[in-house]
Amino acid sequence: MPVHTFILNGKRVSVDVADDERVLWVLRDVLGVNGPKYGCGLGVCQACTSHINGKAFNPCSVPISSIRSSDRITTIEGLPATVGKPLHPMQEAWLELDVAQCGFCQPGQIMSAVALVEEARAKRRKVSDADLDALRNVCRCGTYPRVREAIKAGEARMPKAKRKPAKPKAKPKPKPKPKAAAPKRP
Amino acid sequence: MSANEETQMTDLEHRRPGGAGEPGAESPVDPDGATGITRRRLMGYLLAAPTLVAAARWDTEEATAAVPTVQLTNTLDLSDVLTAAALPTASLISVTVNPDGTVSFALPRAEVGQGITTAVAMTIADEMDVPLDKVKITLADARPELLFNQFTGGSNTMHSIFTPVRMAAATARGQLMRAAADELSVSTWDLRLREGVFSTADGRTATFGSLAEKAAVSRTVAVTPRLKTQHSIVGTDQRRIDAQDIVTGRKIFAMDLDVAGALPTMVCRPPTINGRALGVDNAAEVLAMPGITDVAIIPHSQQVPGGVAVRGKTFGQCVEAVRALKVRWGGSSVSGKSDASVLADLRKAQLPFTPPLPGKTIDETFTFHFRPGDPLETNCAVADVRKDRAEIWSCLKSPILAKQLEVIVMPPTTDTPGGAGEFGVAASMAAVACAYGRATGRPPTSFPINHGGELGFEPFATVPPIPASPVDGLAKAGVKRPKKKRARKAPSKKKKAPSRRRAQAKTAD
Repeated sequence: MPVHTFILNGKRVSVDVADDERVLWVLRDVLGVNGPKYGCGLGVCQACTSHINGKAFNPCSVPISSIRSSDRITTIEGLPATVGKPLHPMQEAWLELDVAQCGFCQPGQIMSAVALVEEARAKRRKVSDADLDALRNVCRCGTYPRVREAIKAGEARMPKAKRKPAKPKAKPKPKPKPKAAAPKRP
Repeated sequence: MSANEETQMTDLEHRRPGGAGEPGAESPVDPDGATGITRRRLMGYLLAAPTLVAAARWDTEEATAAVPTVQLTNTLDLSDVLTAAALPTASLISVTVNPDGTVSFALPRAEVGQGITTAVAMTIADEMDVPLDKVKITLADARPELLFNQFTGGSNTMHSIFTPVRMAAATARGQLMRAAADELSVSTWDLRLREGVFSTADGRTATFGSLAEKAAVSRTVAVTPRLKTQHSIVGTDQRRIDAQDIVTGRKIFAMDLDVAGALPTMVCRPPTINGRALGVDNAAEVLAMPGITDVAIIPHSQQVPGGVAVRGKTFGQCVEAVRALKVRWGGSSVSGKSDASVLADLRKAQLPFTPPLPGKTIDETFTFHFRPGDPLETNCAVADVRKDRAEIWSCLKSPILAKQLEVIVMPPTTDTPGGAGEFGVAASMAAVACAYGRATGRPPTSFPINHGGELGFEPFATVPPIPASPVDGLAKAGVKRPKKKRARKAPSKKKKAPSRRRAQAKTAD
């Protein structure tokens, strides 16, 4: 079987699995990283939501062959390290508002929340109600109202200093957009 | 807090607890106001152990009955019945004070998000005047001796367990106070208790931890503790005690358990109700698939939702194997029926309504199709089945029921996982895992596929047993991948790609 390598929670890992093995099984069954939960395996419930290069994705829906050696995959276990603290500000907000009930969907909720805030910041705006409406992480306990509150609280807590190094990366992205939009104007 | 503890102690070594003529039984606590249950008296017990262990017991008039006779006039609702059913074994749950100053309690219920571990921790912290974070709640192993006292349901946990837990905690507090008085050479009247520390007027202190072993008893003793009259933590807003584990992804669910030798296992369920697997046409072929170690038929019964199980190194491999299975199904109890025919039968069976009453009437018919409620967590149980015993790891709301379902539940298990979304894991999952273990001699992780199947209901329509996991996750996430680079890393797709082009070319020709 081919060896696949990528960066998982800041550390390089190599796994010997078939090309079509979905990343979720690589994380859970091969590497023993259980934060991303197996809810549906169909990219619907979002319980496995993790980050690839800072963007939210569902590992259940990505074959390992799609992952490059330079890809940085972050699961809930590696989230605090991205801010160099014992807990990510979003996790702190989650605790403060006592969001969780059974907890099964919550790692995915938090990973989606962090990515949502980063995405909004890349667009130089705050998370809107429309953004929150677009979240698709399923919660069987119905913690949605607290999830929404916590995302806004977490957004306020997320360090702005950390944004600056991210901005130069984010800035070039908005630039091509005007270029793309420019042909539309005339 | 009041330092006065009115207690009476009795040597019970050769006597039945709560027996007639016992001092403890003569001066019972009767917390009727808390539970609404009458004719029962609550006793505290100190249990013989290396460290302080305290329990409570409902002393009932029919104390020897395994299940109390509950007069319907005394019961208000399901919860009262469940509470009454839990009474006879309430003495078997106990609070332990540890030398490190923590207080531990193994809750004989399933925590599936209701927050009962937090509520019980609050109850104990309140009654013992110990900080909430010093109370450690675990989930108890299956304990058949608890009978109906290990059933999670009917929104009954706090109803049934609140007072016994308080009694056990109050018994422990009283004994700690006696030990502290002895240790500090003062009367219990001269002690103050705050945050798990006893202190005297002249500033000397004794902690719960330092007293844990000193307060232990070598013979089981009955006491009559006094419950606190004012709550300091109960009724206040507290966060879940498992919140930290949840937000960091450390909370363990059944599927996260790492049991030596256990591998992912999935069950291909029949496409019809009560269908049974007659045979597998391509068992050898499926067994040869990557990672697959076993293919086994699980006989279907009323208790065990059977099918064909596959065991592999990853769930992904199991998904592929289940999809590849060619199973001959038979024995459905609904052959020839459909949603429409069932609905028609129901309409025929419907009793005619009473004649219209005077005035305006509205006559409408509404059809509600059955929808099983499922947790988000995939149902899962790990079973280690041996010739003479079996061990199950799962989040079962009725482990005793699991036992009735031909599952042998043997303590001790080290990790009792939490469960998700109200339902916990259906007991039949443990049965499936056990049946699989018997069929293959393997300790599997059992994961039945059809949501709802574990409740005994399945869709009528014949559907593919399980869809393949998607492959477009990166595109959906907005991660762009140039096709050339992707092709380099996926040689198998590279091979397929030209063939598709050729096929297209041929059709174009």
